[in-house]
Amino acid sequence: MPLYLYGVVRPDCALPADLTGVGPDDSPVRTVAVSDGLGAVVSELDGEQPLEGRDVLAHKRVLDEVFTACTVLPFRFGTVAQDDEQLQTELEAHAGDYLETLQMLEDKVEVEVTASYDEDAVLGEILAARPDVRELSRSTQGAPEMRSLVELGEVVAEEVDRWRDAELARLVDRLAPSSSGYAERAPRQDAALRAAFLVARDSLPAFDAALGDLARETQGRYAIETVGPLPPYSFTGADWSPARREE
Amino acid sequence: MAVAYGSRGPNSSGLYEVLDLILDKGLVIDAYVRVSLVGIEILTIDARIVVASVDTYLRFAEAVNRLELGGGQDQQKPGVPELLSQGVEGGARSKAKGALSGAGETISNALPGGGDQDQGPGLMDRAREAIGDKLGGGEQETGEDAGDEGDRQAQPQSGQSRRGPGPSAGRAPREERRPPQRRGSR
Repeated sequence: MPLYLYGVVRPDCALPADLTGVGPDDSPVRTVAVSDGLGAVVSELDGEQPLEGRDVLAHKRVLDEVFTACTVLPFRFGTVAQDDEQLQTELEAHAGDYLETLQMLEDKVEVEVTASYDEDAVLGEILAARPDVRELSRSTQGAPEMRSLVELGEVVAEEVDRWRDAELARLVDRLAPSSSGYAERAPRQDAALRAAFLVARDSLPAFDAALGDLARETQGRYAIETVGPLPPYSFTGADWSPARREE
Repeated sequence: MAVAYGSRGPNSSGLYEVLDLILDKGLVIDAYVRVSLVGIEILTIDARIVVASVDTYLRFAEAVNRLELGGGQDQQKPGVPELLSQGVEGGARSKAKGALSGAGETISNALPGGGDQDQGPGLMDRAREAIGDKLGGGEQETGEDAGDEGDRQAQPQSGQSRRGPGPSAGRAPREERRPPQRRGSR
């Protein structure tokens, strides 16, 4: 029977007994010990069954439970091993990597931070700093051609990108003392920036305080939202950066 | 700050907030993402291409022109709480929810009536169409054996390095499995 995979854990990871998993059969979720020091949270899944939207919820629900009990490297949604043997082979082949990552993520959580800005204020700053953009803007008023509007918008979009990079760098700097790393994430709006931070559980109060300080200092220039603590979805691979600490 | 800041608890993450994390991040080993999730993948791509499209350029141009014409920064601006209630909560959120339920419909439309049916090329074709429509066509993976148990990873271009078609039993090395390497800070 194929196994739906939720995460790599240590083999002693204990789960709630009534936890059910992805798929239509309410298959029980269990921890299988795979090799020395490594295990996986799995449930059986009929390979012929299509997954549905509610299975995404089930995946999230299981990982939320696992995450409260154990350090876990979450699998991406839809990850299925053909059978026990395949899972075993995979984990054993890369046991060193998995163990190292588990150790690195021990007692750490992911927190998503979104900073939303007043877009007019940002654009106003850009206009104030760039006479050429003001000129371009004036030249497109009246009966603008599509081409010149796109040109104007493109210049502004580049500036917005630059602005976002600078703001992100500031956010990352301020949160560096209380976080272990970060990964930039695609924002859902233009006038926003979003990043995932890796935070040690016992640094969460300091992390929150740093965000609060930042929000106060900027006097409502932007609004900060956080989501988490979450399982470390963004930190299982290589695509993140460690926090810069003061030497 | 008056908004959601500080309201953090173990359950403070809704599905939408973590949807792209669940679908885009995390370990991948020999695996396949079921084609029935195409609708949701499209949703995350929608979220990703907000920036750098012509629409965005035009919107920026319009906004800048409005500011420049209206005297720029001197004009009265709505406060951040209002902006948030309009923009973040009202706009993005509700739009997101709409898109999510849209994705749900896409899924149920794409799915055959019961799980016991064979999902042949019909499903794949519809899925490809859906992706093609969203992305302007021509960017979807070409599948040579679309009927292969219905379990193919339709692969929209997402800018993410995602492993190729995955239903084969063979195991291919993948690049995302390695533990994080300490990279230089940006």
